[in-house]
Amino acid sequence: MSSPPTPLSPTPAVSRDVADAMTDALTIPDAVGENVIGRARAAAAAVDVVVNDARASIAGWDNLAWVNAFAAAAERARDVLRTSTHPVERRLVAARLLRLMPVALLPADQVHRTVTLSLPDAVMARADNDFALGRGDVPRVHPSWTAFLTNPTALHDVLRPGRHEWLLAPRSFSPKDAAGTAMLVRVVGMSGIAGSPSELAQLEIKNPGGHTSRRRRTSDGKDAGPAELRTDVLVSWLRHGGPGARGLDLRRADDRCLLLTFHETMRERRLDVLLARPAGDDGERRAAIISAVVDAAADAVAFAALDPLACRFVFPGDERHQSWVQPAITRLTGLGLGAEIMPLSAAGPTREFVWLDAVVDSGFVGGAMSDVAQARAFARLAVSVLAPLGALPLGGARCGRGVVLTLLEDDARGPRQRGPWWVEPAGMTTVMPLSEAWARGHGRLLPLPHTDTAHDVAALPAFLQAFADAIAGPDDDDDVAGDVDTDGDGDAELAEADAELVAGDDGVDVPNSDPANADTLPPTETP
Amino acid sequence: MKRLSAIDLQERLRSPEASVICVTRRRAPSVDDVVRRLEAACGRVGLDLFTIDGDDSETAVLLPDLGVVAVPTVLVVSSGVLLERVCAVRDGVDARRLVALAAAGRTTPPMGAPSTTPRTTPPRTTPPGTTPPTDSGSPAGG
Repeated sequence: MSSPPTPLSPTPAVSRDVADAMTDALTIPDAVGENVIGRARAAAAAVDVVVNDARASIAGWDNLAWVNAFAAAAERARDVLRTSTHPVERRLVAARLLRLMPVALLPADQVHRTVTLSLPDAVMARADNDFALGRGDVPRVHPSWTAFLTNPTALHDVLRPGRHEWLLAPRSFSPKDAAGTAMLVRVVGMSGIAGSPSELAQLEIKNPGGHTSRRRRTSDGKDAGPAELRTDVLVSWLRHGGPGARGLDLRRADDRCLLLTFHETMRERRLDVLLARPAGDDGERRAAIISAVVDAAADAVAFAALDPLACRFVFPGDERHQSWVQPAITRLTGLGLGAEIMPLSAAGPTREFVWLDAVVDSGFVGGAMSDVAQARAFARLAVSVLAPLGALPLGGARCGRGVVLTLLEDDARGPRQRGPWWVEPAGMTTVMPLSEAWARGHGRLLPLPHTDTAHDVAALPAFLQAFADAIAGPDDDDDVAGDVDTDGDGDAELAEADAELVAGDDGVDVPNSDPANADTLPPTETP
Repeated sequence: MKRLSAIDLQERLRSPEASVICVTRRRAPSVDDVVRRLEAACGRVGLDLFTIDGDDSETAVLLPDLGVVAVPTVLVVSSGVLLERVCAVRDGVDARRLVALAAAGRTTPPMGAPSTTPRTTPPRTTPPGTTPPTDSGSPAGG
């Protein structure tokens, strides 16, 4: 009978030798393979050689030289793109090419805008696992921020005089004062049974010129009687979500990446810390924070995606420039990347060349998004994440390039309304008052609230909680406020974030000396 | 391919049917390329391709409201909502993407639908590198 086999095990001396060899052998990889980011950076580095040379040697005025450098880099990029399959790789290459766009050849309305294709590093690092979501990837919101929305009379309460800025009303109410399909009004008095369909609101009308009146006017300017409207019409505009309004579809990588980018933007601005804490009673502070969250959502779209039209080449078409324009266009068209387009109506003859969508992929991950696609991405984000905070979006404007946002908030006197604002991620100004957008000719054809989807305001807080729980997993039943302060210095972090917000770093105008703000801040020092 | 007048365009924008509309110009090679690619893509899914003349004075009045600034421009419209507006269609794949967008616009899920919820990775319950606990010793596991 033979003895059982001895398990194979190296002698201590051999083990020590192998360990020493592995320590010294630098060629032994510690990772399975190169990740997407590694490949993307290698692809971008191939283009960097041309970009850096050009930026160091070409004079700013020499447009033809810049175009030639762009074409040389694009040729190098084309070789890289043949083997690059991931949208993030293409995005990084295109970001390098953008550095060779001469400002003089950008569209006139884009010369003052920083055109980038930046995706936060933390989000790009998720490209390897297809931007999969997990616990902590949705901003946690303390219930006190949204509790007032569950009040069934919240929407009627904001109609009371002094509790709102401007409300939307249909064009038919006073055609002479309308901008497109809608107009701005303000309630100055109420009559009838409160909360009933017959309740009437006496209104002040703001016409496109900025003047106000309390009389309706026909389209030819004749008086049509006192400005009175049923309150349920005004409420229907508040609840109006626009045709086909929908939230994020997290089965799509684009929407997962969008949500991650928004969350990362919130983190960079410390807004996630503020939202995770109780809201406090200071209405101004609450409004400032929610406005900053809206800005973060708009910026998340605006900085990560780029409209191909915003970075097109615009060449002058007149004769005296033809000596360099014609060779430049010939060089670009010879690349086989991009296409020449013709302006519909321009002050002078111009020739234009669009190239971005030939280099990068369409969509949020790819980075090429038209202004319509950017607005729709913001609208999806707003429906899923901003609406439960009281920032109600209205999408579906005919021009497609923006979303109307109305903010509901709460203060010591109850619910109130601010806005409406026009949010246009692809524009020079991402958030502006709707009246200002109308003056610029944007957002004039809004959808009417007849049969479209409406926000179920009272259910929004529950929706947000379900949304966060679904991403975090079914076993995530931690206290919302309690799982944020993991490092024990949450109060100090909150105070710092609040101080930055009050200082206006996020573009929010909050009085720095408002003593009411101090009441809501946690103590930062122990007496 | 059907050419739309200004009145036809207004009706088409209000129609619940999805439409792919291309703003064209005569004697423009880049327009011909785009129309050819879109026509092939529309034919695959049974959608009609509509064109409007960007230089026609009656339709030109409507184009600023639609945000059209250049030719060619492709508009994808469904139920009065502008789903996409692009100036270039680089190849047949890009054309099919646009047409698919129009086709998908007919079945938009309602707002707040639970399509927003599925997670893509299981929740991590233990730190990396550790063994997850088993339920073999729990009372429920017997």
